[in-house]
Amino acid sequence: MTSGTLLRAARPVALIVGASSGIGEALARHLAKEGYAVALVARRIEVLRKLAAEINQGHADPIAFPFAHDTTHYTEIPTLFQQISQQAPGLELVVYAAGIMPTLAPDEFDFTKDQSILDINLLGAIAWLNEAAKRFSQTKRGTIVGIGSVAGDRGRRGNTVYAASKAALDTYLESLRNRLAPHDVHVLTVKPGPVRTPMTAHLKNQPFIIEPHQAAMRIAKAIHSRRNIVYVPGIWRPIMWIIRQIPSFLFRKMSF
Amino acid sequence: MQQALLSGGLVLSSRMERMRGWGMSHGADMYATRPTTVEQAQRILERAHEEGVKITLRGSGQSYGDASIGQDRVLLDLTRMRRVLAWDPINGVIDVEPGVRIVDLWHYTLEDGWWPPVVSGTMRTSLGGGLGVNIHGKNSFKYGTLGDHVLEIDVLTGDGRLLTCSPSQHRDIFYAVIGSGGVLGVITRIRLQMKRVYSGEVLVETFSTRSIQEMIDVMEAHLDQDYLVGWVDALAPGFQLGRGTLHVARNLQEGEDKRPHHTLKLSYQELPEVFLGFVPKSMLWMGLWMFLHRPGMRLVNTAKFHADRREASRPPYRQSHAGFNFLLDYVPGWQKSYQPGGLIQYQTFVPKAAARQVFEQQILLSQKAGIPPFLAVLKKHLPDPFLMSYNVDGYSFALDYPVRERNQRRLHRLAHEMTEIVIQHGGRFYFAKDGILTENEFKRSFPADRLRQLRSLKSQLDPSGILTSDMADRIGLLKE
Ligand SMILES: Cc1cc2nc3c(=O)[nH]c(=O)nc-3n(C[C@H](O)[C@H](O)[C@H](O)COP(=O)(O)OP(=O)(O)OC[C@H]3O[C@@H](n4cnc5c(N)ncnc54)[C@H](O)[C@@H]3O)c2cc1C
Ligand SMILES: NC(=O)c1ccc[n+]([C@@H]2O[C@H](COP(=O)([O-])OP(=O)(O)OC[C@H]3O[C@@H](n4cnc5c(N)ncnc54)[C@H](OP(=O)(O)O)[C@@H]3O)[C@@H](O)[C@H]2O)c1
Repeated sequence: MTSGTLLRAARPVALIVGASSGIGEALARHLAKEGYAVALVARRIEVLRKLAAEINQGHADPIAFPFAHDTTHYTEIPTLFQQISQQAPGLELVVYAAGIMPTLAPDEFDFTKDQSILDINLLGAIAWLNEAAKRFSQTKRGTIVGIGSVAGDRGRRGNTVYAASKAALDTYLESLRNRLAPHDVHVLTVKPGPVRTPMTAHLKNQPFIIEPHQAAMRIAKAIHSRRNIVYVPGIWRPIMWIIRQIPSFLFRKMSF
Repeated sequence: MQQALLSGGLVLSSRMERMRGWGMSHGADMYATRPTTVEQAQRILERAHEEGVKITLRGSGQSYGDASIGQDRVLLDLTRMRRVLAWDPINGVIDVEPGVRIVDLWHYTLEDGWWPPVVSGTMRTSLGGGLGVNIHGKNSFKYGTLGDHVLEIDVLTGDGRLLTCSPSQHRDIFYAVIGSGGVLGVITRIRLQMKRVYSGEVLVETFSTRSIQEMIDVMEAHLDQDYLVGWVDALAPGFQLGRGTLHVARNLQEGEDKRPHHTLKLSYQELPEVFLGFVPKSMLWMGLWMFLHRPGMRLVNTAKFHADRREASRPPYRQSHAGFNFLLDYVPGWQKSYQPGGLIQYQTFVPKAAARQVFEQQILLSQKAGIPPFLAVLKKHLPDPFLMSYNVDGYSFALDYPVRERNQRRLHRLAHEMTEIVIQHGGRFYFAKDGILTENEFKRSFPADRLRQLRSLKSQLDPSGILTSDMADRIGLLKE
């Protein structure tokens, strides 16, 4: 228990980047129900405003605060981070859930697409989570959550750079965890399998697919129990363990 | 960091530090700045304004709750502005910076025969912070508040102006800045009228009382004295409800002390450094920790009650000013024995007619809730002319409760229950101690026209709303 928190009347604040849709949105709703105030960040401000209004329903003072931002505008991030912590004092949790997964044709090698994947999935995450790391290493507590993917555990044929972005994020988060552990800061890597969100709407035959609210619940549980890595749903942990054991020459011959 | 600020760096690049209320039940992470001059303080206000951050003022941080902390705010810590600017030993008038503490004050003036007119139970209180909430002492029924003895202050307003205020100059600001919890401006200089004393000692008499009514009666019979403070054993069961001990004391008249030069010496005032001859005082709080559960506390309270009873049969005795006034400083850091949850002090000010009844109910409700306060102190008060005054023509009762993970809900419920009774009887609450009042409760306990005046002054002195605190936010002090 951090001293001086028992009687604090204000809610702890969770900052969620990528809160306008899918997993980020579900997490925002879930955390607000659990007693957090939520700062919502994404490009589509109208969508965020609507979400905030829904979350704020029944509360005398607002508990959800929308902020318009494109994570590729990296230089804005330190200022916005401060602005958020002034408007919603008491940041305890930062989640980076923004991400894109453009479809890639089998013969497509499109650098522009690749670059924007890295910009949003990786560099945006680093820019935001570095700010969180700086703050939490001074306040000596807090939780940082990055959403990776099972796709980052192996380099499959499909989505080359998407997988690479998630693998890089995974390593970045592990390193951050080691760096922040002496400051009592918790870093959680989330590795979802398929989740029914706009990102995956066009894909067919997704194994073990779950709903965003189910994913949110599991992520929140992992936050509270201070897990290092959580697969969502849990079944992906043994599956990915097995898949990781497959030697590369064999993996190449398999259909996925 | 200080360098960075001076050369125009960002306030936000200051390091975040965890600051806590004295009771350790409230904490906040803040961007720490510690100016040493008025110009630096001015500069920090400017920068904060440019960067869109809010500021919380802090003196020695002896307020129990969240009056001098602000989550994610810039900490403007005034303890490094700690110079005595002028001293007139003939008239007893002293000019000091806000970080000068009560202990610094009497260390400076006592040997000349002057004692602070009003002191808190701890001598660590800074003058700026003491005026921020407008403290009172055990002599409150006769001498009022610290603010009543201030001749003049300089105030650095939220928008960066430096105003000299007194009961005749900027009168409305003078009476509002003192006691408003640091939300209108920074007090940067204080001119205080000290009190003449003819001895380093006071004459103390102890009374053992069997009820709150009896304690009040004995107090009322001693209004010619200088100090009145009652200690109530709040753990005593029903038939002994409100039993306690009353200390009555007075300053010595000229000539009563045959060796004033001896007793006015600082060395005569020092609190002992060791306890029982061998335990260093700085370690003592660890020992206290053992008693901070109910059976332990009952033992301590009962033992104290009987020890005081024996003392009560003794004739009046003399005690040094420091020894009498700063009993709570005997064990430094004693609040640490309440770790990790900390403690709160619930102090309410209730008009004469209802006081006994309200305070008895507070004890009974606490006992029923299973959280009897470990310390309960009764004082008598006078109304004062300050805008945000917590004083009434009546009495105050201060109750210390431990905060624990498993009792915090019950404690909240108990506090809100007691608060309803206090509000019903026209009682008030005190910024220095509070950490638990809600916006709604505060609004109902405080005159609406005075709140309107405060907000109108706020819009004149700090139009962009830079100065705030977790307390101000919690009770909606500045909310229209
Ligand atoms: C053991 C103990 C016993 C006590 N006994 C008493 C008692 O008998 N009577 C009593 O009245 N109180 C008592 N107190 C409370 C204490 O005296 C007050 O809380 C006092 O304000 C503490 O002074 P500080 O310098 O620590 O102020 P802080 O707690 O740092 O600040 C108090 C308030 O003043 C504001 N402030 C600080 N500096 C300035 C400034 N320069 N200009 C404007 N505003 C400013 C702050 O924002 C805050 O709102 C006691 C406290 C303790 C711990
Ligand atoms: N769905 C799955 O099956 C699945 C599986 C594994 C991992 N993941 C990962 O989980 C995360 C969330 O995915 P999701 O399924 O919830 O996707 P989604 O529904 O498409 O939501 C993506 C979110 O990211 C935001 N975003 C995208 N680009 C942004 C930018 N440049 N700046 C700011 N915000 C941006 C979007 O907001 P705006 O468009 O309003 O900006 C949106 O809120 C992603 O990292 C994804 O890779 C998803």
